[in-house]
Amino acid sequence: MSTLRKLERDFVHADIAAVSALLEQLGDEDVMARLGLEARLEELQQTIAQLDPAKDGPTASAALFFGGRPVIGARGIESEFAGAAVTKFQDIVAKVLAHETGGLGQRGIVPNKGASTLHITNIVRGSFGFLMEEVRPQQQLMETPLKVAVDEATKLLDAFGEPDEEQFRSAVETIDQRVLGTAREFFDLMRQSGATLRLVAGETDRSFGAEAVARAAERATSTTVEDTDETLQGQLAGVLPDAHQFEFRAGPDRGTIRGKVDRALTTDQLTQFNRDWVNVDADARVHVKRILRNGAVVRESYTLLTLGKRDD
Amino acid sequence: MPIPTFTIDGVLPPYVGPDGPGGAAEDMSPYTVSALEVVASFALTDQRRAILRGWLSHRAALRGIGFDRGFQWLDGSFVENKDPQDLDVVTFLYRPAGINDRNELAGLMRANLNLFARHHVRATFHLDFFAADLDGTSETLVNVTRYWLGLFSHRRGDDLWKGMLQVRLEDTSDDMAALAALGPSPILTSAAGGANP
Repeated sequence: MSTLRKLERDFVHADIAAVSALLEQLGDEDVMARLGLEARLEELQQTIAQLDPAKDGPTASAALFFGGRPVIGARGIESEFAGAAVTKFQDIVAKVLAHETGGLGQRGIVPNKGASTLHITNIVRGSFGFLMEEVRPQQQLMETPLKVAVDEATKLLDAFGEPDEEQFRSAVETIDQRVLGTAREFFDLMRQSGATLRLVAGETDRSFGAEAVARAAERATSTTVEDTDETLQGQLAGVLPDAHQFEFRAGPDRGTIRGKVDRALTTDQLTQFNRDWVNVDADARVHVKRILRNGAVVRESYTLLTLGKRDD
Repeated sequence: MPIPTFTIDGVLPPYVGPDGPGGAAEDMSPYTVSALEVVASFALTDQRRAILRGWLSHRAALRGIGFDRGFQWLDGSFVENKDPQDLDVVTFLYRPAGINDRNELAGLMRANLNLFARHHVRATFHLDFFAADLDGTSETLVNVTRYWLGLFSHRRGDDLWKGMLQVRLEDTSDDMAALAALGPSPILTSAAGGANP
């Protein structure tokens, strides 16, 4: 229920701001209003203390509110649109979860899709939407992988509506091609249906008006991901074994590149890399992910796969 | 204006009639009604009757210390199709005769905190109570009215636009009729029954 609790917290925070502003405006004459408003403020502060974010549940939860053409006030929503929008959001979450756990191939069935299942547990209005939650038979103590995936998917969709281009590019630096494809379908649906959207999960709360929907759809369409494995010649500058990060001097054309190290390499292996390979001519096998906007590369990220003796 | 029937969403409509919200004043929320009409429409359960007795008792007590002119807005789950725990009341009061400045007003209210302090009023009378001073600062009156109207004219959680009721405070006979319509309190009845088996 963490999303509902966040919405409740937002409401109470707004109420506290309104009452505090009223109290500041009161003069000595306003004894009647002061008595009531001070008591009201105290009640609201007690309420907010009970809604402590630290007490939010560890399971996944997201609220999707829709407005615009498919919605009639708080009364109803076109069933075909609602079904498609919820399905596409669920699909993004499934792919993010598979991507995070390293199992999302370039095509084919999304692995372990059952683990990503969200249930519609409530209708939220204002205007009209759905609360989608992870339903677990047993109480959880730790954050579930699905909660992490839902929060991640929400942050990603949030980035598509972000007005600042640079922030958007940073957010999609490591996006998976299939996640991007489904995000494109999601925003295309919004745009073509004339819908607006508010998305709330974790600490993310983003409203997409018509302009933001159009921006998100355009970005999702014009962005592509290119994944390749390449061999680069150069010298290892060093690795951070625990952080799984590397720095490699790849010659004058590429310069020094930095990135993550493949999780298949152990911390011990990386410690050995620092002993054996620093400042030694080597071939680095790296996975290169390029994010392109309208065909031009805007971000390039590297994952070190292996290091070996240079083939001359 | 009789109390309008609930909308499909189980709330009072924000306006009635074919002319929309721009129609006659009496067709718009807050609908001015009598205490008797409130009892006639909403005394549906024992809990609701207990709340209504608290409300009428509080009104009588306010009059008893001189606050006998003004009006109340009734809102919250009590005027919705729900099982309420209390009745939300914003009370717009003229100061009693003889109360000439803020110090006298503050003194009178301090001496009667059981009628003005929100937690006391909630515990004793089942009311979520707030008082606004019709003889106070005009800007404060506008600001607090705007706040409570904003809060009360939309349902929490979904922002559904809804209506509320307005009941004047001056007509004591209306309250007496309302109290009579409620009938004797079950607590008093059972106490009387215990004494005379």
